Amino acid sequence: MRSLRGAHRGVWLLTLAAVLVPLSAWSAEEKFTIDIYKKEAQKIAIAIVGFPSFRFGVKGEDLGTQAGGILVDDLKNAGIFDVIEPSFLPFEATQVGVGQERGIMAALNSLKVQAVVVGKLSSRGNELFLEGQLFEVARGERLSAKRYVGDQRTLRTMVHRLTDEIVFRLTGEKGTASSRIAHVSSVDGAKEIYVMDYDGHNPVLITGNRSINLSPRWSPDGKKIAYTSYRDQNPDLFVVNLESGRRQKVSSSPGLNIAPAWSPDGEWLAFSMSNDRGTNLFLSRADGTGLRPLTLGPHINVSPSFSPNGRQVVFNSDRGGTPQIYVMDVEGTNVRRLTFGVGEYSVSPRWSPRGDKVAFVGRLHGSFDILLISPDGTGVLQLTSNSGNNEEPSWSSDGRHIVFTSTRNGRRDLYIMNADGSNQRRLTKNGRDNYLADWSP
Amino acid sequence: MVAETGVTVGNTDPALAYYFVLVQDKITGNWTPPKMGPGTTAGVNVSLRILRSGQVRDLAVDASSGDRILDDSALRALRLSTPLPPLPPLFKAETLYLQLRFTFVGEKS
Repeated sequence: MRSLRGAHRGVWLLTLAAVLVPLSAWSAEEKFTIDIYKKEAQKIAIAIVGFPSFRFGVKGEDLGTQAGGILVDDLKNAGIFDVIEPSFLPFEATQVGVGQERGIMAALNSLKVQAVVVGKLSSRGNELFLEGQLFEVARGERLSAKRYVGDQRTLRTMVHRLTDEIVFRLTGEKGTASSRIAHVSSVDGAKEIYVMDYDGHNPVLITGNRSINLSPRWSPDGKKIAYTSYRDQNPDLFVVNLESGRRQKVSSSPGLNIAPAWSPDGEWLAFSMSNDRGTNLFLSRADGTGLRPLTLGPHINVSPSFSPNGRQVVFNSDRGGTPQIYVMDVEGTNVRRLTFGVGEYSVSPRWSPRGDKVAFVGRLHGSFDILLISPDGTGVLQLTSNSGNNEEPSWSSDGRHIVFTSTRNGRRDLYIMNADGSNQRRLTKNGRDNYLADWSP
Repeated sequence: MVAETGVTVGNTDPALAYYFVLVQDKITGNWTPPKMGPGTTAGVNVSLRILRSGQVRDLAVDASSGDRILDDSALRALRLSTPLPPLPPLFKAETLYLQLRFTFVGEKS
């Protein structure tokens, strides 16, 4: 391998340089040079092979190719893989069948590919089967062999499951491809709550009362959603069981009953209620019993979010004059302010699943952006900038991604980014306002 | 015979300097070099023409790294980054002739 160290001794690493190169005596076209510089790669190089064409259903859609495409998208979205496209492989990737992987290991190994997935679809009647096997290339060792059963409508779900299996086998961490995102969408003047797959597909209406429904929050077991609804005119707090469809009104005091947060054990809800004096945080059991106050006073105290160990609550208060982020013990004691001098004001705190960061929204130079701060008040990091207003962050369960609302393309839409602010991409494109997202466990 | 003279950004048209930062950011973000030995330094030079729209033409590897995988990773980065940002209005020519120097520096173990 030729070393550039000698050729470019001392030249322009990490810098931008322009080099003037006259092509010849008769051409004055300038040739500029840009340096692209990288240190050690951190991602897992993975190849996807198999997934031959497989036509299925009355329309005869090619679900085999679709499945391979969904898997590529899922693995790219996971943010920890370098997915090698088939055109960069020295063989025809779709020609490799399950059980024929031995023949490609040497070639993959020489390409420094670390893992390979071999997959295919098959069917029996209306049943659709997805088979996926994962291999570690260097040793040729099979790490996983799974078969998923479903039908045409559940193809995406089956592939998401396979993705999570791959992520788990290679990293030991639970993947998020099977997770879902609850959010509010404006429909004909109403604001309804929907749940969609993490990649924006398969939206399902959860409320449908043609009223205003806000602040959906998943229970830690992913089976219920707490939300505020104006269904009965007053903004009341509800919990809906997604399996049974049963809805329970858990708080309906006159005034606001808003912005719920579940305790990590799923037993408690923190939320805000208002009266003539102020808006304060309360804690109740998930069925509304056992109500007790967390804050008292004439100020506005809203937007609670529990620490992953359930011992602390981060929230938003204007007790100091402007809205800022505060932390308190779950008993309502030991209140301390977290944000100082981060923009004009700070709202919408969400504690990360790993506990090491709080995401929040700061108003900086007139627009709203998403920032991170450590629970000790240090290490402020701005994740969005120069892209409209960016608000309402919510973490994926692995703490690797954040979903948020942005107006960068005009109306409010949901976007996803890596937790370091990289790879920001749009999630909703249905022509409505989409906002107030909450990522499922 | 090709003469090569280094010019710092400060001597370049400011509109182009900013454009180069955009191009550099985009391609750097899309480049995942393969795993290589600790302390390895390797690079590949690619030249291309950028049309006003940001589309890429006349892509060529000027100097291979000698490692096809590294060369391919640079071409992938470019493909993932296309279209590049449109040429700045203040730059009057129809195309911009550019060389990209991809350099990988493995961290020392």
